[in-house]
Amino acid sequence: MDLATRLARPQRWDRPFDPGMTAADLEQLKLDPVVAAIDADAFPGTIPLDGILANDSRIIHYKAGEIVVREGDYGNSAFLIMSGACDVVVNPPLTDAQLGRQTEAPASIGRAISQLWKRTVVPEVRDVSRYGNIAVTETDHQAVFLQDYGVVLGGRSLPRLGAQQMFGELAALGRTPRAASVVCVEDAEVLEIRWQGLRELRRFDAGWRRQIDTNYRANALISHLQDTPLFDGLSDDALQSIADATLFETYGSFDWSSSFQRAESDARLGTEPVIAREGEYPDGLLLIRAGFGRVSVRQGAAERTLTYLSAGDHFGLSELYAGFKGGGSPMEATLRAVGYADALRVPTKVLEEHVFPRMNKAPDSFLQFAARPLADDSLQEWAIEERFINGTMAMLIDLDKCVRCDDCVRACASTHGGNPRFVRHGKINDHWMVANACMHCSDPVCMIGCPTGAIHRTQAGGSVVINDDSCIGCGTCANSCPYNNIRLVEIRDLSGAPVQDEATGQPIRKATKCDLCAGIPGGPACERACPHGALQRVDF
Amino acid sequence: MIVRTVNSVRPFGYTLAAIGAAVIAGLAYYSHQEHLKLSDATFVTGWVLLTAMVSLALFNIRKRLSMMPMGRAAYWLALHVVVGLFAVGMFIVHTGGIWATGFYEQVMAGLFWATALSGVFGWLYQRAMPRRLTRIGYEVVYERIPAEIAALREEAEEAALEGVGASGEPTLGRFYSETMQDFFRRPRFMISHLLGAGAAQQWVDLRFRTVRGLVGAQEEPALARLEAAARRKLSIDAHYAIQRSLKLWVAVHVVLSAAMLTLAVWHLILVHVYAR
Amino acid sequence: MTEDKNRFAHDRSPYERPNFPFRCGREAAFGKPCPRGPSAGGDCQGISDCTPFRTRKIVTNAETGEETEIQRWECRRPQHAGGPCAEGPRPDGTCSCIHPPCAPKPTIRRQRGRWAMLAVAAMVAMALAFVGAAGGIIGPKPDADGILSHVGWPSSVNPGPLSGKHEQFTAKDGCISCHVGHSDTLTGWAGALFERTTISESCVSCHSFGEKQADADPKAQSPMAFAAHNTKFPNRTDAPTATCTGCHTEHKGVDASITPMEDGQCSACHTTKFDSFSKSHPAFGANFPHESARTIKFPHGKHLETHFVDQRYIDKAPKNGCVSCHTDQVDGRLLPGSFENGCAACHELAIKEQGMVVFGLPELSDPELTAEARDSCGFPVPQLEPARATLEALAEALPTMQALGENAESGNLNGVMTAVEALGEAQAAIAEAQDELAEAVDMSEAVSLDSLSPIAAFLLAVPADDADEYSEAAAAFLIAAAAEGQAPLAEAIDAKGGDATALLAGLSPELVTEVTCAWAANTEYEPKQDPEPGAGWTAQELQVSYLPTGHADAVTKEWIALGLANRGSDDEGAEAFADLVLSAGDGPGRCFKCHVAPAADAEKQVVQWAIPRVDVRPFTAFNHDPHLNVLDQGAGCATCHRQLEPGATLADGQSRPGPHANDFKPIDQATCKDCHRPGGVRQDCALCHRYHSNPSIRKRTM
Repeated sequence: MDLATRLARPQRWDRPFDPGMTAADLEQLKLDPVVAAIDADAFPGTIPLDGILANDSRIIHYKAGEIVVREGDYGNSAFLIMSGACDVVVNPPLTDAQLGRQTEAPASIGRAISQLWKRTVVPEVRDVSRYGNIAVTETDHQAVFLQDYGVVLGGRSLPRLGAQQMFGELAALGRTPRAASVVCVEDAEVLEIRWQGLRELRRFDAGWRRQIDTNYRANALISHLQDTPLFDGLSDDALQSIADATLFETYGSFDWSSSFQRAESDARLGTEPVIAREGEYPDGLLLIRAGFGRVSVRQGAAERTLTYLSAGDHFGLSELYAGFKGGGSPMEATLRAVGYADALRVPTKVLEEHVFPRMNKAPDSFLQFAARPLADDSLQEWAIEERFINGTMAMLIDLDKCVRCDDCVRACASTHGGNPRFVRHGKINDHWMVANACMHCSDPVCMIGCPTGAIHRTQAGGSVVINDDSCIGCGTCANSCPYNNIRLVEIRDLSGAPVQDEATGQPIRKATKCDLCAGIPGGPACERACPHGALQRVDF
Repeated sequence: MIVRTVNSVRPFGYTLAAIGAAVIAGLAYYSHQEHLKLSDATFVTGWVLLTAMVSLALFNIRKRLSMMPMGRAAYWLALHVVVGLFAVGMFIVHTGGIWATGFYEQVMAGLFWATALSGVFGWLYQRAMPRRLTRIGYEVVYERIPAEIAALREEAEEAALEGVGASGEPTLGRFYSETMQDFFRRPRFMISHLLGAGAAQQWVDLRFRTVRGLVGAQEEPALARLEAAARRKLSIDAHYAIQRSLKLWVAVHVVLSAAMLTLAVWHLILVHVYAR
Repeated sequence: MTEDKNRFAHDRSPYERPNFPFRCGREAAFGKPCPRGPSAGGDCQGISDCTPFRTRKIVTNAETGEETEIQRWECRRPQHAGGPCAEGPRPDGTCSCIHPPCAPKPTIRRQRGRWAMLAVAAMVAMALAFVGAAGGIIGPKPDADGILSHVGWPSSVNPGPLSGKHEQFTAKDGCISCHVGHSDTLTGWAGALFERTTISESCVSCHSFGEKQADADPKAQSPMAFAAHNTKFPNRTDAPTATCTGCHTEHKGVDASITPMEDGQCSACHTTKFDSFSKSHPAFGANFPHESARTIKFPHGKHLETHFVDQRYIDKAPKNGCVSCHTDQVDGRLLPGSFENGCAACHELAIKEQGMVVFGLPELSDPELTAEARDSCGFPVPQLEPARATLEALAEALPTMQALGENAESGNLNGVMTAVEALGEAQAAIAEAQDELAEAVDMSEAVSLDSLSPIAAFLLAVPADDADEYSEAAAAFLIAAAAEGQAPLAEAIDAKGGDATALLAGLSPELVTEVTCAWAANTEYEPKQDPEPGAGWTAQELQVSYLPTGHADAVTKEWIALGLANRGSDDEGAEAFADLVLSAGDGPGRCFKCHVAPAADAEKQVVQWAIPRVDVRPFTAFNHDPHLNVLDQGAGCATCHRQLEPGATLADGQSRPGPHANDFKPIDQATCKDCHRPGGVRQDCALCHRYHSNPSIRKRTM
């Protein structure tokens, strides 16, 4: 009475990072000093070090001149150089042309048209023959060489990384773009560790934890400071001195989504950790590196939110500048971490030495937002409360224009073989609804915890997508998403029968969510399909 | 803080309308000139009208082709509205009047005007109704309404039973089976909700006010629960009435236009057999 | 009940699929769908909740080491449908949670699609059901007479009722009367779909525009029918081709007008374009409306101002003004009525009075002829004997006189005395004979005319006044006339190419004989009664004349025609003859006092007696009636028809055909514009102008 197709339920290491890694390779790897220094006993039995090394890492041989990582790309891996040397190209970075940056597979009209006959009336049909042992890699190792790398890089004093040196871990762990391009200047043997493995290594090995944190300070901070408009035009030395003086501060929890879900909205503000308090004297400029901060002032017995800050914004500049000009001035507003915030604190002295003398005009104060009528706060307040500020492509529906025709849902279904990827309901404020469609957050908490790395950021563009082939349907991402935008579906085979795990008979599920219609030209179909212009994908 | 896309549909629509009006004026003039020359331009105007009507029908096709970059549906709607008005003008130029003679031609003219007027009505209706829907305060997806009403029905029954159980009095039970059971069975007060009148609200208010006077403190929480369910039901009923009317209107418009186009093809055949 | 905050949770709110054709019926009803959902065809697939799974476990008996396989069926209902059921599957592996199948509900788009299909099918059915008012699939059939009544039956082909007349005459054949493409079969229709035909070609199967009825082939295209104004204008070779359907559209209803015409449509072909009649209509012709040649000379001024007011004639004068005489409406012209109505009262007598002398009895130069004529008349000739005796006596006396002469000379007194005695006897005899002769014949007067009548001179081809010339022919004629009556006259007429029967109609031979014999007897013919005017053939004294019996006398007209036929010929007497008959004062009946004779150099020497009733302006139709009714009583017809002042002539009077100038001014367009202007009466082209020339219906349809 088998009405269903049976498959083996995918396991976490069902798809190793490098299926070609042999036991011999593993032994070879364990001879590397850095790897050998890892204490294998610190790892639990369910996640042995060998397992991590075997399944979550791979050895790549780069040629001289080959580009390992490109600045701005999103990557899920860290790299440990076992032999050879690589340069980190910073300031000025390599151009797109030099990086051989190719756009991702262009949205193809052919793929769009093929949707016409791929549609089915059975939900979530998959071609299960594709699920075999296909090595899942988001990108194959395509060697891209930097032309005339000797000429381009020679004559520049660039940081050089050699054996036992690691790079790329911050981008992998922090879900941020690569800070800089790394080019091999000699033939190199590199161990690429995907971030699931890196996460475990950092978690269980103290040495790696320290190393990673130090690396951040040494490498990423300079780039970040360079990217800050406030420090435009400063000399390398000035920047270096700023970097040396900068302090790291982390507020909130990396895993803020779960605490967010638990807390009631009213109490949320009370739980947000304070970074700087109104009325106190500033102790340096705060730069938000990651996460979000809320700027609020006292309004009677409560706090009134003026605005929110995201990565790249600064806090306290106007007060410090006023102090520089004469007379100290206390903080005009309170800064709290919304969920989670990585902050950098630049001491006042450094600013007074390098930055303020170059400023002619006083910076704007946050109090300008206070002039706004109190009652108009609702939309912003609501966006911050619900953490919609995280979203870069939130689906905002103007309910005063929406006639509830569901054309958006049909359009979404039409680009995904008949399966929509969002539901047209969601939280409402006034006449705005944020529908349950993936917002492609700047801080994608869904990516935390994926055992196989099926959910990832695309190379360019930064949208968060799920690789259907490697998803094992564990539901971690769906449970993590604070907005309920990821849904697990039970897949069917081509005949319409449900696909079940051959071992347990349980239906096999896959995680699905909005992918901004990747591979379809024209951008998200939902936006294009709304006849009344009610639906927009907005960046909060 | 919130990025809003620029709404450039309106100038697009106005430009199209200007072009359409110019075309109608030009064709009307051309038609008159041909009439003076003892010829007639009905073939030209007829084909223009048919082209306009077919392009109006293409809107439905575009909606099914969202996977291809066919242009934003908002522009298509503006095009549809403008071409629809253009078709009305073209109809008057083509027939030389408002109505027709002959059985099938009158049926066709009737269908045309029904479609056109239903279109105009719908365009205005679709601009007015969303605000009403939003003001109801509770949002529900149309397909989920039966599920929500079923849930409310259970909730109400539970509340009634809870009230009876808490106090031992049959008041709430009786109230439920006499009055509220029918109310929770399916969407009620459709016309009142459609018109935005307060009949349903008043009905609920009155009944609960009346019964409140009959219940004691023990039943009060259950009554409150029941009342909350009833008020939630009011919101859902309002949504049902209005969303259903929006969907019905579209169905009427599409069905009329399908019949209209069929007869237009028939007319095309006849005209070529008999008048050319 | 507070709002359930977890309504949107990912495990509680699955995707909605409005793009699918069907929804689970239970979901549609109360939101608890089966896990499977409906099939593509709309069947329920959720009869059972799960697909039970058989687990296999190998259990090793610790004591015996025996391995047994334990199989169990387990419920596999998904979490969101409630998780594993309590009862579990049945022993044979089927699910124990069985529900009756739901009725999957079509989604909105599918339902709408079904309705649209239904509407399309309904329209197709309607079209086919009512197709053809001429025996289509379902439709009225012709009755026993073959008449198909369309009225009242809804038709999906007929775009509207025909106008009443066309409906009447096409009922038998139906649509195919005009629409060549009409057919009862689908292939016929399909063929017609791609063929170009014009309805206009069918119009001329019934309507014709001046072709001869006899050889009109209804199927053949009539070239005239498609020319502008249905006629060929020789000097407009570029005139456009017209089609019937360009102006006439049918199927607009029983009472609809199928001939509406706008002024602007006329401008389509006419090169002279103008805005409206009152603004810039081209001027009427310089002689409008008197372009054609006059046939009756009627001086209106003289009559109106002089004759009609004359006390002598006032009781005969017309009492009702212009319309007393102008009674005939012919193509917009108000023509004078008959002579009897209008003119006879005053002019009849004058016609009857004036006769013509057909032949008079002339003086002959040779008396012998007279005697012959006398012979044939049968008169006694007593005077012949004494004449002869006288002559004989003279003849006898002659030798005696001779002898006397000789005797006188020779001195023979005896002889002289004898001769004288003889002479004396002779003289006595002669005197006796002379007395007898004098008694018998009074030769004091010769009763005859001086000359031959012009008609006779022409007929006999002799000069009229030269007796020596004409005597012989005249004598022969007269002798024959005396014997045979009018036969010689008839012969002479025939010789000149005339129709003797017509020309001599009513002439009795006795009359001719009596007159001739009277002349032979040197007497004047005395008719039994004096000839009255209008008596026809009469003889009086020495002439045979013809008095016209009345207006339009046939014999007179024949003689005039004969005269005109020989006018200008070189024949002897033809000129005089023509002049006589054409003379206004002396001609028979005085015809040409009023009628117009053809010009001397005219090609056709034929008199146009009556005012022609041809339509001189075929494309204009002026109706006097409405105008007469509204003219003010004072001026009446003179509102538009204004007389010339006495003595005045028109500027281009010379250019007009006809010998006499018109005594009316041309009608001024401004007169019309007094009323036909914006704010006044209609002034559209169709009011005065017609398009079709000679429209008629072909015989076959009657």
